[in-house]
Formats: sequence, C-alpha cells, structure tokens
Amino acid sequence: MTDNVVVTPRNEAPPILAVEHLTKTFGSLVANDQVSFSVKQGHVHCLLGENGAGKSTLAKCIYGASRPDAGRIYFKGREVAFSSPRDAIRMGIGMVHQHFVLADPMNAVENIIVGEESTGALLNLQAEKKKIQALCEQYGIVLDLDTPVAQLSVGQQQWVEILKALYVSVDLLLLDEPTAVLTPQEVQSLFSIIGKMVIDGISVILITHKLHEVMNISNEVTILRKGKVVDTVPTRGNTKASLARLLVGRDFDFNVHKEKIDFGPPALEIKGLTVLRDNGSLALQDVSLNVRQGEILGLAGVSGNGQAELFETLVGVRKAEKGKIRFAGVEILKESTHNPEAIASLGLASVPQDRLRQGLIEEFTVQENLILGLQDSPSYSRGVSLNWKAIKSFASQAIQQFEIKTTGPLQPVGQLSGGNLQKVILAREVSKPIKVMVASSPSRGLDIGATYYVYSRFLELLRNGAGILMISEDLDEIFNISDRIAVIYNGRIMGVFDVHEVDRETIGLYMAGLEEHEHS
Amino acid sequence: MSTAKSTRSVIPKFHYRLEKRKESGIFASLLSILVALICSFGITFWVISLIGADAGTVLWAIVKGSFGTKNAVIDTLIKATPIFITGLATVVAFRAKVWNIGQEGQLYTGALGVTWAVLLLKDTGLPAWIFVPLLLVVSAIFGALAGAIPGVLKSRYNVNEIIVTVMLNYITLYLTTYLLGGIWQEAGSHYYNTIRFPETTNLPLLFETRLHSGFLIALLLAALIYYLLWHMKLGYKIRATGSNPTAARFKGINIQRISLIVMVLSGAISGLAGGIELLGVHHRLVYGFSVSFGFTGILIALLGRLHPLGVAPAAIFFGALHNGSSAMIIHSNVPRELITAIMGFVIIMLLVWEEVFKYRIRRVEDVQ
Repeated sequence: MTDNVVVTPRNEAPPILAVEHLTKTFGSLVANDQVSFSVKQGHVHCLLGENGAGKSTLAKCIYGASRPDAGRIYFKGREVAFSSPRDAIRMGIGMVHQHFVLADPMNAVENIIVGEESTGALLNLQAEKKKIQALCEQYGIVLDLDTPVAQLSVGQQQWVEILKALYVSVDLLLLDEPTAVLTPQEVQSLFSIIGKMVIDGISVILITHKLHEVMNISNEVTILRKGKVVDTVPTRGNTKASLARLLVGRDFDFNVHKEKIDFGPPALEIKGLTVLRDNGSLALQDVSLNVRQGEILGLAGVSGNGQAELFETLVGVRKAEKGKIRFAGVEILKESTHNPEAIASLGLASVPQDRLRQGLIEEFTVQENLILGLQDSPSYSRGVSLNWKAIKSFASQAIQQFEIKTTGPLQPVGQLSGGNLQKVILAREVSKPIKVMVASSPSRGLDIGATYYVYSRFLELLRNGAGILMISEDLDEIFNISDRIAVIYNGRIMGVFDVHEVDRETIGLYMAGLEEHEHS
Repeated sequence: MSTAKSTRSVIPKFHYRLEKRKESGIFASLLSILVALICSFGITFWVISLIGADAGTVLWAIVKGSFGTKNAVIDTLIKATPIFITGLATVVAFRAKVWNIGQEGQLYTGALGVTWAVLLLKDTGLPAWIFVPLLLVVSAIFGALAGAIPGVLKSRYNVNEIIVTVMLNYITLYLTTYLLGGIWQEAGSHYYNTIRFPETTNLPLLFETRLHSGFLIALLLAALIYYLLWHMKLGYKIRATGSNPTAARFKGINIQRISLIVMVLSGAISGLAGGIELLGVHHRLVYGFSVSFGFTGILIALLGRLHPLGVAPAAIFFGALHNGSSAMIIHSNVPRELITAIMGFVIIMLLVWEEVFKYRIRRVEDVQ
C-alpha cells in the first residue's frame, strides 16, 4: 500500500500534481498503462514520448477531457476526478491544445473571456481588456487585442490560448506540442513566457517529442513509451543521447549519413509560377525553384503560405495562372500533360501532407492502396480486369521490403498506424522508376524509427539520380536532410540557401516574412 | 488515506463501457439483420393486434402467400425481379457516391424504348430469338440515354444529380401517361394501355412455369456487377471515387468521367428492368406497371449494403412481402397498406441495428 501514498520528501514542496497508476484503454489499445508521475510546484515538467506513446491521452485525463479507466489523480494534495475540463479549469488547471480552439471572427479579448461567468451578465469589455493588457505586460506578450484571431499568426493565436489560461489564473498549465507550428523566434518567446510563469509559481507540463526542447526548458522529464512510464529523471545530469536511449529503448543514431553525391542537372524547374487559391486569392506569386538530380531541396515555411497549392499544382490537380514547370524534358503545365496521370507517368512521385485524405483510401485494403494510380499498368491488370494474383504478390513483397506492420495485403488500410500508412504510400510511389519526389511533411506523426526509415528511402532515391522537393514546417526535418533550403512566405520564395551556410534563426526570420534575401 | 484505499481495493471493481468496434465482421452483420427482422415483426404483431385482427393468422397468411406453394414462390421471384435489377442499378451508382435517384424514370424510359421498337417492328415477322434480345438492348440503350442526361450535367457542369434525376422521374412518368392517353392507346380501350405485344416478344419461361427468364438475367447481372466492382479496373476506380474522391483525383483517376460512366451504366440497368418487366409480365405498356420499382430498388440496395450478394436476398424479401400481401387481404380484413408499413419497420430496424452493432459493451476492470 505504501506505493499508493503520495511521497512527500522532507525539505521539498509537495507536488502540485500526482498521477498514480492511471490506465486508459481504447478497445484493445492501451493508451496509458499504469502511469504514475508527479509534478513539483513551480517546475517545468516535460512529458517526452514518440507519437502514439500516450502523451496526449494522459494530458486529456489530467485536464478532465477524458475519463481514465483506473488510477488516481491528486491535485494540490487532494484527490480529484474531473468530469469535464470545466471542473479542471475551476480547480486551476489549464490546457493549450495542439489544435487551437478559438472563435475566428472574434478578437483576442472576446476569445479570452468567453465562458467566464465571473464577468456577470453584462460584459465590461474595456475593464476586461485592461486586465488582459496587464497580463501581457507582466509576461512580455506582444499582441494586438483588437484584431480578429483569424488574422493573427499561428504563434499569436497561441499567445491568446495561453492568455486564456493566465486570465483564469491557473496553477498548472498543460501545453500539448506547443512548438510544432512555431518559427524558432516564436519558440524562443514561448519559452521566455514559460520562464516568467514559473517565477510566478505556475507549474507547467510540456508535452513534446523534441529532445532539444526538453534540454532547453525543463526541470524534470517523464519519458513515456508505448503507454508506459519508462522513467522520470531530472533534466540536469542528462544529455540528449541519454534521453534518446530512454525514448527509443536502444542506442539511436540521429545523424543522417549522407554520402557525397554530385548534383546533376535540374530534375524539376519551376519558373515564375503564379497560382490562385479556390477563393481566387493569390496562393503563389512568381515562384521559381529548381531541384537538381541527387539533391533534397527543403521548402521551409509556416503552413498556409502556399505550400499546399504548390504541391497540388505539381501533382496536377490545381491549375496555374502563369509560369512554367519543366519536368523530365516536358513542359507540364500544357493542357495535355497537366493532369495527375500524365505527370505521374513522366516519373513524379508524391507523398501528400494529409495521408488518409489525399494519399490513401481508408476502406481499401493494403493491396488495393498499393496500386492506387497504378491500376491501369500492365503489371497489375490484364485487359479490363485487375490481376489480383500479381497485385497480391507485389503487395506481399512491398510489405516485407518496407516492413509494413499489417495482418496482410487484405487488411483495410484505415487500421494501420501513421508510420505504416506512410510506408504504404512510399512503397507505392517508389515502385516505379521516378525522377522527382515531392514529399509534404514526410515524417509528421511518425515515430523515430519510421522517420529515419523514410529518410533512408529518400537517400536511396538520391543515389538513383532522383531529386526530392521536401515541403515541411518542421525545421528539425529541414535541417536534418536537406541540401538546400528555400523559404516560402505568403506565396513567395524569400530565399534559397545552402544548408551549410545558414542557421535556424535566419531561416526563422524569413519564415516570419521579416527579411527578403536577394536572389543570387 | 491508506486505510480507505485498502478497503476499496478488496472489492474488485469494474464498470461497463460502450465502445465502437474497429471492424464489424460478417457474423455481426448477419446477426444485426436477424435482430432487425425479429424486431420489425414484433412491431407488426403489435400493430395488427391494435387493428383487432389475429396477428398470427395474418402473418401466416403472408408467409404462405409468398412461400407456401410452388406457385407462390414463383410469384415471389417474379415480383422480386424488377426491384432486384433496379437495386443493382443503385449499387453501381452509389458505390461511386453518385446519387442516382432516377431509377424510376430510367425504368420508364427503357419501357418506352421497348414499346416504341415493338410498335415499329411488330409486323416485320422477326423471330423471337432476334426480337427479344434486340428489345432488351433497346431498353438498356434508352435507360442509358436517360442516365446520360444527369451524368453529363454532373460531370461537365457539376449540376446536382439528385435534382435532375428526380425531375426526370416526373417528366418520363407524365410523358408515358401522355403517350398512353394518345397515340399509343389501344383502339377502343378505356384504360391507359397499348395493344398486346406479339408473342415473339415474350421472354422465354423457365421450368415450364410462369417464371420468366428475367429473373435469370437479374442473377447474371448481379454476378457481372460483382465482377465489375471487385475484379475490373473500372470497378476499382468506381469504388475509389466513391470512398475518397480527393485521393482518387490526386492519383490520376478522372472522377468526372467516372461519375458519367456510372450514371450511364446505372441508367442502362434500370432501363433493362423496365424492358424485362414489359416482356416478361405485362406484354404491353400499361399505366402504373411499375409499383415504385425504382424507389424500392434504392431501398433494397441500401438494405443489401450496396453489395450484389446483399441485393439478391433483399429483393426476394421485398418480393415476398408484395406477393404475400395479396394472400393477406383474402384471409383477413387487414388493409394492403400494412405491407408498406412492414417495409417501413424493416428498413428503420435494419438501419438502427446496423448502427447498434457497430458498438459493443465491454467490461472494464478497475486496476487497483
């Protein structure tokens, strides 16, 4: 029974939060298995784990958005069982979700006070605004409180979410992957805000899978793997390598070993490309880029700056207004070639951002998905019929070769994990000879093993003379494997840099649209 | 605190939780259908008792009327044939998520085509082995043309196919009525009907019974559509378009072309249903020959879970209800409309239980 008692060592403040033997299951999936950990008052406590390790589920249980199957949660020394986030907020627990929950047309003040009955029936917006302004000054948050939140940048929207929590004076704030969508500069501001909150006695739980963030800001870190707590360790005295070992469960080499490849002539040339969004506004303005054979061009940028439209134009599902795209010796923006079928047959492979929406068919089996787009090829068909025998043997081979975790070629693809979905797409896209790969956020949602597997496949493509255009908002990814980095902001290319001649901070500034590099 | 906990941990604790199944197997699917049938017949029992009739007698009359004798079985199959085929027409369209609601109109168009061809060729002395297949082809072509109208409008101009097909239903129905009241009306007839078609247009009968070969054609068609959807490139594209049009488009499937093809195919099949009904049962075009065959086909396709092998039993079940209703009227004072009500109960129950069976109740042990 002793392990059930909250341990209170002498000379140390009691933990503000203690979780004991928390278990949460979804069907046969055990998201949290007997999870125990505690957060000390005024600490930044990281929950470190790969995608699918159960971090977000754990946070939701603490925040009352999800009910644990078993286990106990103690907050400020009292056992709590929240039935909704409202209870949690009332007790002093706030949370900033991965996906913000803001009312777009309303301004920051309105968003922050929404749901607060302390204001009474009549709103005194001016008084509330003054309170919020004071909070901004206290924490060094620069924010226009009168602008509708839809017009704020992603980073500023996050300040609004954080202000919401500060406004109701939380004692514990949970932040779920807060840096995923931020530029390096915004990450720095976020960390300085967190630092000020800690000084004021607010405790912070930071959910992340990035080791350098853990090293940067946390006091303690709890490592989760496959729903279980591996260990809770103080950050000081640990290194990225030692944390990585706990995270992955074995020694892991985070370096991508690229051989020196001599870049060939351009495999893909984009000149003066102008593209409109569905609503007629400019998505891309006069974009020029080229990808050489054997190189990875990383396209960095905060999402929503035209990357999706560029991807769609390249694969042939979005019309261009102006410009030229030369690929495999063909000008593909012509009427006759600007469709997905023709472009793919010229040797373009694509890995879309939204795998289940744009790249796969959920209800289809693994083998059916492996031939999506290739169904007319003579390898998989005979006359008007599909050649299931050939398809099945191709699928079995792909499953083996790409180590796709599945019950077999006939399993519906919707039942696979994110990493395995990505492997299905990759297996399909590289099953035919390709000249250029366009990949959008290729490692998003993947665990470390799967991420590095994808990278190794990319390197193999480079060795075979293909060029890769990698669109990503994750600067770790961009710096990890790109040869050159282009930055896109507001539909324009802000600059193109050799990866060895530029640092993250510079790229971050361009991503925020603050500088424009003179094209050389 | 620890004493309170130790007493609690002595009693094993658990609670129940409702959760969605990841996949529901064929067994759960069949069980849900069985439960739904039992429930709907339970409701029917209750409704009949409310009327004051003896529910047992009435239901027994329906069963005997639809499956009691060889002739009853044959009549059931005859009644099942047109809705079987319009059900298949629905499967083809709905698999691509193209919402063809125009089966009724397309069936009428097929029947109009057949009638036109018969009236044109009746005196040429064509032998049956040429005449009958020719007429069936004509009905399919007319149906296909009727499907092509909403098909082209949707694929070219993105016009909502539901509105177009529903409106075309009215247009064809009134066109038929107009023709039957005018140039096509049998001389001296007080009814809206054409002359009787020559013998050489009759569909061959099976097993020396009244069962015409239309039922055989329906079975063949079901097999063909199964092959189309799961073994042909076109069927693969149809299913891909229906399941995820975005991914299909990104991977080079021309979803506009698919929606046109599917509309034409679905129309052709519905038109064929009209042709078969005229040549197999009525041997003339007569007002009201279709008892909402097109709309019933949509229901059957949904009940058969958009699968040709599901459509077959669903069509026979509805055919049996139709057929059994005649016997019910003879043996009791229950109105014919009860059958429509039963169909309604069955559909609602099937949909409800399908949803219910997507979940399961699980006991969750509280780990101490």
